[in-house]
Amino acid sequence: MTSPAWSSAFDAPALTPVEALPIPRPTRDWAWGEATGTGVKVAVIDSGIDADHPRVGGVAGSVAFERDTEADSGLRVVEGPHADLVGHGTACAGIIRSLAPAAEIYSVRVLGSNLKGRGSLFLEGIRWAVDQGMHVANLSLSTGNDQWFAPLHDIADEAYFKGVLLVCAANNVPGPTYPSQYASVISVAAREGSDPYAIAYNPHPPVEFGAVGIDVDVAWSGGASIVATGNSFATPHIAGLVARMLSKHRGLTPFQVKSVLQSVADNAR
Amino acid sequence: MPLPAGTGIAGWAVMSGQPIVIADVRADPRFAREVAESTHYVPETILAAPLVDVTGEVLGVIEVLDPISRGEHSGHDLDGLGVAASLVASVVRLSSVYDSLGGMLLGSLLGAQGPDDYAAALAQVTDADNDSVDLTELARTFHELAAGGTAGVRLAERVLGEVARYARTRR
Repeated sequence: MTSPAWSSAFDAPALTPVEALPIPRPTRDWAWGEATGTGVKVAVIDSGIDADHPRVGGVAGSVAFERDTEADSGLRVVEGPHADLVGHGTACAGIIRSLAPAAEIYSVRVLGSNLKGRGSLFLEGIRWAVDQGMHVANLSLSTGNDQWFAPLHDIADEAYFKGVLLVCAANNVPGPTYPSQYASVISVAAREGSDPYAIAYNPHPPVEFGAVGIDVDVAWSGGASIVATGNSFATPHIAGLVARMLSKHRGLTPFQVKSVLQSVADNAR
Repeated sequence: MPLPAGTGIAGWAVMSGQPIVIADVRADPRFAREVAESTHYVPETILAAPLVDVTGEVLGVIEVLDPISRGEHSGHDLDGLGVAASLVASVVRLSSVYDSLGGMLLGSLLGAQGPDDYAAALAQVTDADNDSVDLTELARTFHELAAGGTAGVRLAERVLGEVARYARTRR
């Protein structure tokens, strides 16, 4: 049995050069230079966000989806401020804030209430982001349950056609996981290094992009900072850069954003 | 040690389905307090990966506390833990299936009145849908007995063996 160790695709010796489009190429400066993420709405679909954390600097809104066996839908929606039940969502928000300081960050809490029905919580979190006009959604979560393949695929396509960028952490456990597996999302794995702008493109998807995510200093709950590793910390680096890109170049579609990311990758030539 | 699925680093791995490494977990005051109270051991570094079964559902979580190579090779450690998690998940799944089948067979043998019942018992095991509460309880009892150590395993095997022998003598 081999594990899809996606991070190894981005190891320096393994990094394959990729051909950029034979047209004048965007640079990182063109893509996001001087941009701040202003006017761009970013949903962090995770364990909640500690809005008071100094590295987060406040959130524009919060909503929590929780399991409710009394409700017909099996879910309840709780609007208003909430805590981060783990610290992970705060870490993601802090990374996004560091790259896109003026972005409007929304906390969409779907993790932490109950293990059962987590697929439906993921789905509703993404649906909320699409319906509320988010421009970017950071998803450091996935499910391998085939029951959720079609519903998550549908909402990922809907997001794609509406121009909502779903930035998803790839999973290192064997077998397909959704929604990171879909072509309509930006899937991300962690790579070594400390330069938050150093992204790489993998010419052998499903995982397309690598970003810093190994031993990174991140915000955590309780006002703390810790050192963390995982594809789930690489993902908000791409989400933050995409937010900056969209604040500078309004109306870029998901495939245009992917093209720019590929063009400015470390291994593009 | 039972842990709530919704909180903590293990909880996040279970909920998100994603492996994760957190160094210096003591920086999280809530984590340090809760863990110290329940285990009296507060690690510095935690690796956590979800145990995912063949259907893609999360069965649990595997954790490594304070790996020797802390602060180094975190990415490769995480890949390794992902492989380990998939193997452990297979064992957990298999163990659960054996528990169910063993419990159903035993329960059927206890209630058997003749050859027809044995055939029915076998058919029931073949079509096991795990819906029988009594049998699940029985299986859990044996599982708990066996989990008590070598002596517990021997006792469980002996009881099962005696039941099987008794059932054969009544045929």
